[in-house]
Amino acid sequence: MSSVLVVTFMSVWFRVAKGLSTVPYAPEVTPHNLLGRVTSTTLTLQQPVCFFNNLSGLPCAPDNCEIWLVIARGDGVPKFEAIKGNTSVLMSSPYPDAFRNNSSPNYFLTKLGVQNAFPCAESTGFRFFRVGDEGLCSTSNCNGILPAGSTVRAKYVLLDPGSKQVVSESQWSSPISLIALSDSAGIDEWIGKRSGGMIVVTSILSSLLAILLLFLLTAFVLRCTGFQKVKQDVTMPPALGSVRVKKYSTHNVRNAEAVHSPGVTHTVTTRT
Amino acid sequence: MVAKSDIGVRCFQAFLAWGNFVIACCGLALMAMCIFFIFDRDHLYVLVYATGNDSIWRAAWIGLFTGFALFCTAVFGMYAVLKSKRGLLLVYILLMIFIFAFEVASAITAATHKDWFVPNLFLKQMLENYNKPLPQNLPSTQDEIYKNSGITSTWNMIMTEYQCCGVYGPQDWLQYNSQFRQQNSDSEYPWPRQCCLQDGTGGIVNVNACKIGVEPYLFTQGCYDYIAGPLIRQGLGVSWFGFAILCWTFFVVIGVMFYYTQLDS
Repeated sequence: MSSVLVVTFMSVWFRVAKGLSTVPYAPEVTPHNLLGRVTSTTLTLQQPVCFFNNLSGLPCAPDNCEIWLVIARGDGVPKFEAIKGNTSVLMSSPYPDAFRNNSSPNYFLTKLGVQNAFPCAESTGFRFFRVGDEGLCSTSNCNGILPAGSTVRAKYVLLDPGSKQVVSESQWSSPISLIALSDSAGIDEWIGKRSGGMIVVTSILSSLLAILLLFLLTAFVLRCTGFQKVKQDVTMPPALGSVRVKKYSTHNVRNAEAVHSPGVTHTVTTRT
Repeated sequence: MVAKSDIGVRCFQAFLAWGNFVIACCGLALMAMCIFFIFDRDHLYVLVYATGNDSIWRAAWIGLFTGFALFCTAVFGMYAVLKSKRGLLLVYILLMIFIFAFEVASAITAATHKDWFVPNLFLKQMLENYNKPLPQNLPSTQDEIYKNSGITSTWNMIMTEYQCCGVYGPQDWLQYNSQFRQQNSDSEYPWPRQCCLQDGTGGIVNVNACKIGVEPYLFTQGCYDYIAGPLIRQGLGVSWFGFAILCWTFFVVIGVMFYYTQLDS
């Protein structure tokens, strides 16, 4: 029993003494369904709550051990792994040039805070760390935006501020794809199917107008072809009071051949 | 020939006069409705104008004038029917068919163009015009200035007033490249500040929560309903009310035509 304890202790001690221990956690994108948790240049991670609390034999105390975040793209992961034991790790890749081109380091570090600021106790509200919050910044370890649309991996590390050396680290997160912006020119504005209402209105109204014109034509034709000939004998009684209607005889027109001098009468009668 | 003193003729006359009275009332109502739409309470006209096709407004303008014309002609028609003068009735019939044709045009235009207002129309326009910098050479591009500043200010007003964001939602601003995105990094402005909850004095309640999209500090609802809703209602109103008036007018005009053919003086 005691030998097992000793062995465990020895192994922890050994790893810490070697400079680096790995905790079995990895950064994750916040699980809350937030619309802005991943954008084209930023992402919102869960805080490293309780990540490094079970370590012992650290060269720094919880109130001055610092937690930093490493963000890497592509070959930035092996590049950081190769350099992580150095004391100059913080200055190894200044942010403004970190993602300049393919031969750039492709990773950068930014500070979250001291270990004490991320206690294990459950806290109300949700806690997040937004990568890229400082935009296009220029200091070497600022929290700058990521290359638009890239795929990145993240890792939290514990840093001893005295020796500027990484003393413990989490695992790499799984690859996180940032949003690749679509071009607005590709948006399809086609209206799709016509609405039924539009078809009803259009077809019925056109027919109504056509019918109306047809009726108008019919009415003219009826008037001109002597539709009322048979009824000519009917005498009109005087109209109702004020709405008296003048009556013109169209007799002359219909028997135009019989009239030898159609001149004046003709013009009068056609007008009626 | 129909004798004018017949009780049947008097009834027919009364029916035609009443029909014209209804048309006159409907004409006034149509005019009032079209004035209401043209007034454009939500300043949506610029959004429609910028699409290059503002025919839905033309439909409303035609509706306004035909409404007034229907009113005047129907009043004249009542007089003509009661007078039973063929000349007057003929003028009435011709005028009415003329107005009928215009009102048909108005109703069909409104019905056709209301189908245009799909979400993507406004999405594309928003992305390409919101926050677009004004052109440098002023005299030649007044139209551009009107469109750009109009679209930006209308969007700002709608998002603030109706507590909505984007066309489908705030993700519109994140997923597409846009004039707004070219002006602003999505670190500081994932979406316009108008999408953020404001307090009584117009200050933003919680900028950081808004930036990562925490409700209620960010309006997560899209604005499509608040933009297309009034426009589609306008289209429906002008087309279907016009349709109803025209159906009624059709029978009245047919009746007057019949009356006209039966008069022999």
